[in-house]
Amino acid sequence: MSDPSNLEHLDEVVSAYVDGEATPEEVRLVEADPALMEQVELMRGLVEMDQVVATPDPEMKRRHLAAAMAAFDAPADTGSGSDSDAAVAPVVDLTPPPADTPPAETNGSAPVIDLTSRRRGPAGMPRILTAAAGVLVVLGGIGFVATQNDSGDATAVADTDQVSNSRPSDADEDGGEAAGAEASDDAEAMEDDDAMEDETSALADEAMAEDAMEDDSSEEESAVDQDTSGAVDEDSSADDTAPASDEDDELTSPLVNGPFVDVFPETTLDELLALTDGIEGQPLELSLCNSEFAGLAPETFKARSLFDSTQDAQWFPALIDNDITGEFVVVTGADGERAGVLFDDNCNVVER
Amino acid sequence: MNALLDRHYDRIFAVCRKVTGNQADADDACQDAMIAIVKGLHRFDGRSTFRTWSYRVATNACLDELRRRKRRPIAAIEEPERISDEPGISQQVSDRLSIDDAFPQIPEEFRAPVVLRDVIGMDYAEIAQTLDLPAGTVRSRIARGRRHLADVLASTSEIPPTGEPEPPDQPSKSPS
Repeated sequence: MSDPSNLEHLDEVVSAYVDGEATPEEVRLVEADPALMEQVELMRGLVEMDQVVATPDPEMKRRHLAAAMAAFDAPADTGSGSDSDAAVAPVVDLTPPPADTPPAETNGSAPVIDLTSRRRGPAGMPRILTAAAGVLVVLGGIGFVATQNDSGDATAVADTDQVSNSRPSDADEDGGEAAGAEASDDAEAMEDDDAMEDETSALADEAMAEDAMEDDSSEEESAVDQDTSGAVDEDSSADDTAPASDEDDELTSPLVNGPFVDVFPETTLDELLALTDGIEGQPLELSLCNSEFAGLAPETFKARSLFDSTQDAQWFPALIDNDITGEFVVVTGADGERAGVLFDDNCNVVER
Repeated sequence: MNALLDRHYDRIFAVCRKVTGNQADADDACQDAMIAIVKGLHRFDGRSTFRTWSYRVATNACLDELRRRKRRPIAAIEEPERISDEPGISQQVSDRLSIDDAFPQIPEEFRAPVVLRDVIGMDYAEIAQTLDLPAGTVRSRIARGRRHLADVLASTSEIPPTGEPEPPDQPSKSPS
C-alpha cells in the first residue's frame, strides 16, 4: 500500500468506482476491501461538495447573452475565419451597472438587436446544411415515397443508386397523397414558404455540387444510403412504382415537395433523441423540438429528415418544419399524418 | 438562438467558474465562450451533441482566460456569490467556499475533467470527446484532480466544515 504508484492506481480505481466507470474486476476489488470502501465514501463526499455550483448573476447572464446575440447578428466576418473555438469577442463592457440601475433592455453596452430581418435571410446558412440538403433530397424522397406507396405494408425504398440522382422534383411527383391535402393547408399558413423553398432549393443544388467536398460526411452519407436501402429494401424501386400526384396543392406545398434540408442527414431517431441528453426534464419525444437544431441553422428553416425508428422497426420520413424562434415543429409521419407541435422555451408541448 | 444559449448558459457558467477558479475570470471566459459558440456554429457538424461541443468551447475559453490571467496579478479573494435557494444553504455555502478556494490550486489540466464529471455529469467517454483526450487519460486526470482537491481541502481543514462560513475577507485559508 505504501507504493506510490499503487496508491495512485487505487485512487484511480476508487475514483472510477465512484463514477460508475470501474471495470467489473475493479468493482470486486473495491467492494472486497473495507478500506477502499471507506475511500469511496470520502470521495463521494468530495464529489457532492464539488457539485455545488454558483448561480450566475442574472444581470451578468443577460449581458453575456446580449453580447452573444449581438455577435450573432453582427455582419459575417469576411476574413479567412478563425479556427479557434474561442473566437475573438467583441468588446462588451462587463462592468456591472450601479445597483440602482433597472435592467433596462436598452443597455448601451450590449444592445439586443432585432433579428427579424435576419431570420428569413439566406445568408449564413451553415455549410453543413448545404451538404445535408443533397442528402435529404435523396433520403427524404426515398423514404417518403416508400411509405406513401406502401400504405400499410412494410416501408419500401427505392434502390439507392437509382435514386441518388433524383432531384427534388422526383420526390415531388412521388409525394404521398395522404400528406398532401393537409400539408398544403398548413403550408399556406406558414410564412415565407416560397422564400424558403427558393432558399432550400438553392441549397440543395449547391449541396449536390459540394457533395464530393465533404470528406467524412461523404462516407457517412454513403453508409446511411446503404443502411437505408438495407433496412427497407423489401420493395424496390419505389420511385418507379409510386403513384404520381396530380394535385396541384401537393405539388406546390413545400411540406410535400421540398426541396428539403436535413439538418442531421445521417441521424437515426435514437441518435436524434440522444442529442437531448443532458437537457434536464426534456421528454424524449420532444427531441424534434431539439434545441440542438438551433445551433445548426438560421432561426427559421424547414427540414425533412429520415429517421430510423427503432420502436417501429422501420424507416419513416419525418418532415420537420421547424421555426426555432417559435419552437414550432411540424412532423409528417409515415402514414402521411401530420402533427404540428408548439413548444415553449423549455421544450414542453404547448399545443399539439 | 437566444433560447438555445439561455438554456445552456448556467452550465457553461458553472464550467467557467470552476475551471477558472474565480468570478472575474469566469465572467470573461463565459462571455468569450458564448460569443465563440455563436460565431462557431457553422463549424458545429452535429457529430457530437451541442452540449458536448459547447462545453468544449467553454473549456477552451477558460484555458485561454487562464493563460491571459498568468500575465495579470491574482485577484483578491472575492465576495461569495449567490447560490441556489436549496435546502442546507449554509452548508452549501461552506462547502463551496472551501471547494472554490481549493479548486484553483489543483493543476489546470486536472480541473476541466473533474468539472465536466462532477459538475456537468458527463461520463468519461463524453469528457474524452469534449477534451479530445484518451479515455484513460480522462480517468487518470479525474482521479488525480480529486486527490489534489482532497489534499488541499485537508490542508485547509481549519475551515469549519459546517455552520457559519468563514468570512470572505479573512485571507487565511490557502497554503502558498
